[in-house]
Parts: sequence; structure tokens; C-alpha cells
Amino acid sequence: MDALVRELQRAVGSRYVLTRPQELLVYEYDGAVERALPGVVAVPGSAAQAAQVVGIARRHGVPVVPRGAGTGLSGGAIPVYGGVLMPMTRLNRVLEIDVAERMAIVEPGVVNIDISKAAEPYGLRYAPDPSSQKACTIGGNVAENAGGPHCLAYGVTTNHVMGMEIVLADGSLAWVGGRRHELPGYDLRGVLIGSEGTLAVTTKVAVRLQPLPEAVTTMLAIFQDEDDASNAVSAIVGAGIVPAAIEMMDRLTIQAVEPAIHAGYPPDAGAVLLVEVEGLSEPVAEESEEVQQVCYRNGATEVRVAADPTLRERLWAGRKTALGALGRLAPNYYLLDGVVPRTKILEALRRIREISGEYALPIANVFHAGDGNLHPCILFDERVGDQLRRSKEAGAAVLRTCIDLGGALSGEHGVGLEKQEYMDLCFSDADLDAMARLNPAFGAGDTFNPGKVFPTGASCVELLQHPAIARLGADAFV
Amino acid sequence: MSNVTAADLARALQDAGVAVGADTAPYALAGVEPLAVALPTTVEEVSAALAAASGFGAAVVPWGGGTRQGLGSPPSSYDLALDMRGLDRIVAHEPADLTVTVQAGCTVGALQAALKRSWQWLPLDPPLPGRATVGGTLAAGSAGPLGTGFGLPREMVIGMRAVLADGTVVKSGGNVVKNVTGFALDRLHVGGLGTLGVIAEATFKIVPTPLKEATVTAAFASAAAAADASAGVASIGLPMLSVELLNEAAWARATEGLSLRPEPISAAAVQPVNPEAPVEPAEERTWHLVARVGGRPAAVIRSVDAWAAACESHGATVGWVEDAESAALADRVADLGWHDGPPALAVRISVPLSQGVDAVTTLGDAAPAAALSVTRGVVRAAWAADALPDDRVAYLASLRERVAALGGTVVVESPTPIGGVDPWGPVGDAFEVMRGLKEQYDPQGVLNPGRFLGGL
Ligand SMILES: Cc1cc2nc3c(=O)[nH]c(=O)nc-3n(C[C@H](O)[C@H](O)[C@H](O)COP(=O)(O)OP(=O)(O)OC[C@H]3O[C@@H](n4cnc5c(N)ncnc54)[C@H](O)[C@@H]3O)c2cc1C
Repeated sequence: MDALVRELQRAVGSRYVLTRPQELLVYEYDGAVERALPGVVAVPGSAAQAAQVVGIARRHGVPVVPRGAGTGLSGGAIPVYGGVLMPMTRLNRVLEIDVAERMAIVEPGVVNIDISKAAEPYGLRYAPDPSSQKACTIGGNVAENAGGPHCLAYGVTTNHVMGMEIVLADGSLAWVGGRRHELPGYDLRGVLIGSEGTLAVTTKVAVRLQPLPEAVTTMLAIFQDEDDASNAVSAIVGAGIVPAAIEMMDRLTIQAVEPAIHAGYPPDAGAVLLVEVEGLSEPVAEESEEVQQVCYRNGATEVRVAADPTLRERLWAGRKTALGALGRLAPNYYLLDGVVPRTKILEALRRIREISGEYALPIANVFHAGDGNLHPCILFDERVGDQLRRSKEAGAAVLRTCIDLGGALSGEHGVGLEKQEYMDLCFSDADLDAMARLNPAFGAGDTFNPGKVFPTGASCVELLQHPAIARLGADAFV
Repeated sequence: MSNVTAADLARALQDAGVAVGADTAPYALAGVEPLAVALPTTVEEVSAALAAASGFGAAVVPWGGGTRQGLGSPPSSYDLALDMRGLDRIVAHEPADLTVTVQAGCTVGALQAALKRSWQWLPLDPPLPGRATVGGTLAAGSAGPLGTGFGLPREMVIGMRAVLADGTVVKSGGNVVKNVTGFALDRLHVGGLGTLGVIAEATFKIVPTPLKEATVTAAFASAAAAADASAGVASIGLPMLSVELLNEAAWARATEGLSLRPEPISAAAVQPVNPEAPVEPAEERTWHLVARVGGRPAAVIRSVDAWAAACESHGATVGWVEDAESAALADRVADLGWHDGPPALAVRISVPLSQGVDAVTTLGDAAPAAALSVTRGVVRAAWAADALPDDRVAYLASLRERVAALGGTVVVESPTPIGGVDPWGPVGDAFEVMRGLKEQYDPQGVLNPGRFLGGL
């Protein structure tokens, strides 16, 4: 250990190597549930230093766990096997904005929203917008293939990242993908995105930028029950409209939100849809008209419309404060990320209500409805009886429901530690074996983030409402 | 290299329940015919065929519509052609989910026709869509002009079933539009030219068909003027489907026999941006910008106006066509060089966007038909058999040099191998990882052996 620490200190400077328990504690958790202490924390100040850290760890036979902002919701950044935890947060510069090519090259520790802020003066933005975008890093987004409310129309991280500079396990730096639109060879960029930091460390990211929309209209549609709202989602898309976002909140969420922000939701509201359309002003006007009609035809009792930024923000307020409001209903919650085909939302919500009854735990739903990406939030109190156990079982039942309906375990948060034991619901042994072969192909061995994604046979992790979410403040939303 | 005989291979396939084709001649590559042709009709039969072939270490070439078999080197050995066209079913299409699952042997044209009944489409435009299969188009991996609006084919894939060299069927992704469960193995096969596995089934995210489409055509005195004009419009966020800049030969081929009646657009109202600007020395050649937009009628009309104004202010003569005529022209532009089947020689150049004009002009007079995808920096060029450059090897070598100086790469496509020309050019970064992938997924080296980048 001492030799390892000394070498790390030489590589990144002793200020940036942390070994004292109270310093390491800060890095034992992320936005999910499990905790584990790293052996040592080394914070590189350049790509070359990151490469050196990897080389040093490898020589000492200890793993490297890259870390962004630690907002991950599946335990991706937890150093379950100790070793070197490597926060990428010092690498936080926007290196280049190329207006003509509509791209930017940024370091991995750049916070998601800062890319769009840097691009805004040129009339451009970076499209994927995880709800955690004020905190999460682009490196973490690449590792998780993050999504967000506005990914319905524009796609997720992988559709907007042109290439990355990476550190391989042998400590060498390489570019995968890049500035150009077509490169001969296998799409290494594509398999690395979403590989949860297990194959390589990202040290630079080339992202595509898109023009800011000329017009944006936000609509908030209030329904008396969840079935009507679910039908409206399918009907909007079925009508040939692909809004920028369709978000949904269910009855329980509304009941939690209303006292907190007084959004003026009627007391008997069963569900709320937030629909945003954007683009050229002419089609935006037409589409928002049509969305309103579809909502009314599907039983909406009221549709509020706003085109002005302040008013639009007000319509979003309930959605954005939902997670915080739910946090006040129970001391703990277990947030899931299952996804179903959007035509199955109605059925998924019905079954989730049944599961809630069966396990006698409230489950709130506030989610990216346009993509069918559910975020069931199981509310419980770990101090009371067997609620902790029941919450886990209810979570498993929800995930099984998503798979039964033709969906998947995770729409955007990743598998990490949290869902690894459920992978066999989705994939055969042969599928998992084929995925596992990426590791030797990249020569990764146990170097990067071991113990994630694949089933280990170990029992599921402890569920606790995590301070990481609290840290994001009252406006944290998923 | 395998010593299997044609009879043994055929018997093993039949024992595995896979139909065997009678005629190997249509599957010849670089003058070499395979020993046998397998004609599977299900994913299970594809698996059985590959398991049987790999038992002998026999080399397999997956075969779709055959329109892109000129891509890559000829196989270093070739025992079995695996004709995927028997897997031609649409497995599932749920319009309100905007997803479709289709078997790899379905042609892109047949898929589009089926989707059209729900007013939806898959924005892929390979040449010869009536022959090109979904699997082959994905394996080749490159975009046609629609890449401008929708990106590379990989952006549309949300799930896949692929069969590895030993017959193992592997699923990745699923049929939901957003999914991070497990690693994205489908990315390896899109653009992997069937060297890591055979694509058996793919699930796509699809889009509604635009309610209206139109194409602005503008004739410029120089490629640079056309690029300048588009740079201004491209930043507005118009619903672009494609923006292609065609040389004279490409334009002539694209419009030949089309009853194209472009409506002239009056230049009266439009003033040049900067009338004082020095007039560039006129090139001899005319360049034709073909900008296609699609969406709601009001957005299309505004886009046409914006493009027309930008082109006219850069001195172009402008016209436009809409709806069926626009679509017909788009098909021709996508088919560039492939109208009568695969061309004798084709190149794809990819450069940083700002170098696009230099890349398309550096082809020189030796390129009978060439088009630059203006917002992507991708140049397609094709030669008919009777118009090949005199010394292909020297021409391509010098082209590569010039493109390398622009920071780009050249991929050469030809049904007959050109001695001394590597179709892919030099390998880039992380090639060791690519080699590692080949070792992991095809350790015997039997899938399309030697055809891919760096001889993989
Ligand atoms: C309130 C809240 C709302 C959220 N909303 C969304 C949402 O809408 N959509 C969504 O997709 N996610 C959401 N998330 C989850 C999370 O923000 C994303 O997964 C995000 O991408 C994680 O980024 P991070 O920088 O915090 O990464 P971390 O949590 O630090 O790490 C996540 C993973 O990335 C790896 N990693 C980090 N940096 C690198 C690097 N440079 N190279 C290699 N690997 C690296 C880590 O090892 C780990 O496996 C939300 C989280 C919270 C707390």
C-alpha cells in the first residue's frame, strides 16, 4: 500500500492523493444504496496522469474505479473491491467548441449542463439532459449511456457522442471514434458507451451539438385517472407526433407534490402529463394544438399551455420537485428504472398498483412516459418490521413485470451493483457470456470497476435513502 | 484453412436441417465460388448452419442482396455462402411504439413498403433498396444521404439477435427505445461487415413519415459557394432530410429519365449577401446542391424559402420539386453509381466537415459521379466499368495521400480486387482491441475471413 500511495503521489501530486479515513468516507457512496470504502483516492489533473494512475494500479494488482459526480443510481462508482478510486472531476474544461462542425470536445469531468451553457452563445446545445444535469458529469453520462426527459425526440448519450479519448488497462491512451462521421473499423465507441466504467476510463469526449429550437411550448394535461393518461401517451405518438418530452406523474406523486409547491393540481387528479414540443414555430403551433386535442379526447380535464420560459418553468415545477416531495412521505425509497414499450404503460402501472397492494408498500410513479421508462419509487421505512425486505421483493416483482411486458431492467440508470442479480431475467447465459467477452477483448481484466453489471450470485444490496440525492438539494428530480 | 469437401459440407448442412442451394456461381467473389450455399429460413437454421460449418473450420460469407459484396478485401478463404434472404419476415411492428423487429434477409424496400401502410418509415437509404437486405445494410454500416437527418444506421438499432461463428445465438438490447441493460453488443455488428457474427434479426426505432417533403435544387459555379450557402441555412434547425452536393456527372445520372420539372424560384426579391465581394474565378464545372426537407407543410415551405434565398444570394440558379418528384430524385441521389447494380469502383471519403469541399474537388476529373454529404463531410464517388481511371492503383494511392492531408480516410469498394490497394487504408488507434474482438467472437477466424480493416 505504501509503495502504491507513493507512486500515486508522484503521478498526480500528494495533494491529490487521499488516504485518511475521513477523506475516503466521502467516496464510499454514490446516488444508489451500497457503500464501500476505497483503499486510496487519486485525482488526476490530466489525461496523461489518469493513464499513469491506471498503469500504477495495474502494476500493484489493484483495481481502478473511475468516478464522476457520484450521482449514479445503480452503485456504479462504488469501489466494492477497494483499490484506487479515481475521481475525474479535475478534468473539467470545455476544450473546444467548433461552431462550424457543430461539435465540442470536453474533458470527462465537465458537468452535463455546462456543455450547453458553453454552447449557448453560439445558438447550440448538447441535447441529452439527465434530470441530474446540474451535477452529473459527461464522463458518467458516457459510462451509463444516460438519458433524460428530452431524449424522446433526440435519443440518448450514445446518439450524441462522436468519440472519446480513453485509457486502456495497459495505461495507453487511444481515441475511439472522433471528429469524422464515418470511420472504418468496429464501433468501439458504441460498445464503450454504457459499459459502466468497466472497460476503459474516458479522458475526453467529442459531442455533437444541435441548434437551439426556435420555439418551445410546454403543456400540462390533468387526468382523472392513470389509464387515461397512459392512453394519451400512446395516442400522441400514434398520431405521428414525437414531442421533445412526455413526462408523467401518478396520483400518489401529485398528492405529495401539491402541498409542497401548490401547483394547483385538483385534489382528485389521478395523473398529470407534461408534454413539450419544440422546433420551428409553425410546426410547434400545430403540434401543440394537436397534443391538446389528443389529451382532451383521452379524458383530460384541463390542459395548461405555456410558451414563455418563466411560465413553462412553472409547469415543470411539480415534475422537478416530485422526488424531493416523495422523500417527505417516507424515510426511505427504492427507485427503479424499468422500461416497457410505451403501449404497455397502462398495464405496467396497473400491475405496479397490484404489487403495491400485495407488499403493502406505497409505490409512486414519476417518469419519462414517452420512452416507456418507468421510475417506480417504493416508499418504506427500514426501521419498521420487515419493510426493507418487502421493498426489495416488491422491486423484484416490478422488474419482472417490466420484462414480462416486453421491456428491460434499466432505461437509463445502468445495472451496476443494483440490478446485476436480475440480469438473467433479460439475458441467457450465452448472451451474458458474449457480453463478458468484451472484457478480454479490451484487455481489461480486473483493472476497471470489477464486480459490476454481471451476476455474482451474492445477495442484493442494502437499500437506504441516500444522502447523495439529498446533496443535490430540493430541486433534485429523476 | 479448412480441408472440407463440398459433399461433406452439404451433407452436414442437410443433416442439420438446413436447405442447400444448387448453384454456387451467383455467390462468386473475386472469381472464387464457395463449395456450398446454405439457405436458412429461421434464426435456428442460421445457428445450425454456422455450427455445422464451424465444425469443419469452414470459412463462411454471410450473403444478403449482394449489393455491397464489393466492400472489403476478398475473403482469404471461402467455403460456404450463407444466404440470409430466406429470413425475410417482419417479426413485429407496433406503430404506437414506433418500433419494428425484422429478420435480416428482408429487403430495405420491402420493409419500407410495409411500414408505409402505417405512415412510418425507417430512415435508411442504401443503394438498390429493392435488393439490399436489412442485415447487409447494417453490416456495411454506412449511411446514405439520409445520414444528414438521422445519423448512421447504428443510431436506429435498439436490439439485435446475432449468431456467432460457432452457432451461438446472442441477444442484445431489446424492443424498447431506451435501454441500458447490458452491453451494447449490437454496435459491434453494425459496420462490422459480418466478421464478428451474422446479424439474424434487428429491432429499430422508426419515425413517422414526414407529412410533406420537398427538394431544393441549386446550380452553383463552385463547390465552395454551395458549401457556404448551406452553412448559413444548416444552423437554423430546419427539418433537413439530406443535403448533397453533386458534380455534373452525378447530377446527370440522378436526373436522367426523370420527368423532373423544377419550379423556378424568382430571384427578384433576393439580394446577394455582399454584392461588393470579389467574384471568385468561375470554375468550368457546375455543382448541384440537392437539399431535401420533410415535415409539416408549413415547416417545409419555410425551409424551401430559406434554402432558395441562401442559394440565390450565393449566385445559384434555383428550382424545387415536391412530394413524389422529390422522393424520386432522392432515390436517384441515394443510388449514386449503383443505378445498374454495383459499380466497377466506388470510394467513400470521410473528412472533418470543414474539409468536405476540398475532398470532393480533389477527386478531380477522374470521378465520373461524386456527391458530398455537406453536413457530414462524407463523399461518395463511383466509376462505371468503361470509365475507370487509367491507372487505378496510382490514382487511389494519390487520392489517399491527398485525403490524408485533409485529415480523412478513403474506403475503396470494388467487386474485383485491385492488387496493391488495401480497401480500408491504414488502421487507426486501438486496433489491438479490434483484433481482440475478432479473437473473442470468432476465434477460428471463419466469418468473412480477411475482409475487414487490417485483415481481420
Ligand atoms: C436526482 C437524480 C436524477 C437523475 N436523473 C437521471 C436521468 O434523468 N437520466 C439518467 O440517465 N440518469 C439520471 N440519474 C443518474 C445519474 O445522474 C447518471 O447515471 C449520470 O450519468 C451519472 O454521472 P456521474 O458523473 O454522477 O457518474 P458517477 O455516479 O460518478 O459514476 C457512474 C458510473 O460511471 C463511471 N464513470 C464515471 N466517470 C467515468 C469516466 N471518466 N470514465 C469511465 N467511467 C466513468 C463510474 O465508474 C460509474 O460506474 C439521476 C441521478 C440523480 C441522483
